[in-house]
Amino acid sequence: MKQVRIILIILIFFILIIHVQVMGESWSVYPAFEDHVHGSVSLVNMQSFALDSKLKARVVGEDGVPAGIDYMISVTPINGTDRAVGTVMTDFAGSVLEARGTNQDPSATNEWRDKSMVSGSIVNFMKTFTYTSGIQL
Amino acid sequence: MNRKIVYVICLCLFLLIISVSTADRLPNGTNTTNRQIPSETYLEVIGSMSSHQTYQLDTYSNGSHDGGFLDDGETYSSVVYKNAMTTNGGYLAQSKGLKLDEGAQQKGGYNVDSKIVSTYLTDPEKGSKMSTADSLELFTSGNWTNTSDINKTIRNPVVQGIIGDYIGGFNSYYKGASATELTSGQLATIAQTRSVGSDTSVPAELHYLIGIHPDTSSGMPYAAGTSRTDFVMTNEEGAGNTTEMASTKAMSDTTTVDGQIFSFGKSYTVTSGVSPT
Repeated sequence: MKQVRIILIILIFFILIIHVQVMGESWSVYPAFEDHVHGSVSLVNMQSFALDSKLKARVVGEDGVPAGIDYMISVTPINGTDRAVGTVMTDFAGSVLEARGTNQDPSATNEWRDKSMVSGSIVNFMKTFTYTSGIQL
Repeated sequence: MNRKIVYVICLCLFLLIISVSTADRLPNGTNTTNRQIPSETYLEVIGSMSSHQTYQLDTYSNGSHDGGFLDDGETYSSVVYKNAMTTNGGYLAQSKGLKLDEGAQQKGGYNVDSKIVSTYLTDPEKGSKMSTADSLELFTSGNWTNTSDINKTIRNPVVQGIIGDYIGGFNSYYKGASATELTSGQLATIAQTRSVGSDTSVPAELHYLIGIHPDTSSGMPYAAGTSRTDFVMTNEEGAGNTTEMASTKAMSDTTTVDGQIFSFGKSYTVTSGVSPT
């Protein structure tokens, strides 16, 4: 009789544990989000220059791999000259909406913009822009 | 003997269930706030230049409100950073770094971290100049909360006292800003703020620094131009779980310099956080 009681208690214990584990899973939701990232570069009336630009983007990944954009532009004089001549314009922008848990109201909003323009004799102009984003549960 | 064994097993099972349940009640993984957006600029140009940067980060401890009061224990913070610069000729060398990180910060970490150093020399034929405006604002607000809920609900507390079992509500505003026009000289600004904390021991913070010095390479012993700084802090807070105002503060610091500037530096730091006892 006592052995049956112990077995019953152990069974109740496992049922409770399983229930808690299922509840734990139900809390591990991926919250809602919406991101926009934008970047553009324009060269206007450039006469002599050396342009170096690199763009890397990761938009497909396994779980835990963050989305990412890495951009670099560099304008320098060509060999044998002192200056690059012309106009360079850059425009980086983005916006983010995100929530917590199953809440559909935004819990964080981001908006940013970075515009720049240089014109004339350019000894050196370099801009880098990096964006990474990943959920941490 | 068998009865004792049953009691021991029951006690162990009870403790196990309690510990598992407690772990499940910890704040769950709703941390989508993990975006990092660093950018850097290096330039050296003879000619014109213009740049404009803006950033706004709004963070709610729960979900956003269309209006009205925050719910019990809710907090909200908003950061606005703006920087604009133009030159209409002359020589400009600039190094600019802006790190934006919306994630929860430890002490010493910042959600906005801007450092800019610009060296400028006018084109005397054009009478050119460099104009720049830079501002960083932080607004935080929270409704009163029971301290037993502090780990679940407060992300950015900005009150100093705990009365009884409650932390009072608050509204706080901090600003560090400068506007400068130079025909020659070197300008450095640092703007940093923390609006999202990883736990209740992490205080809100805003730090702003400006320095103007001569450009020694130009041979001039002074910088020439004008500069104005604005530092502001306002705070109102309640005590306990009442809606009555218990404390208000206001601070403002405005400085203007104009002419031949041999050295000009100003620094402003404000921190505020709950200190549970």
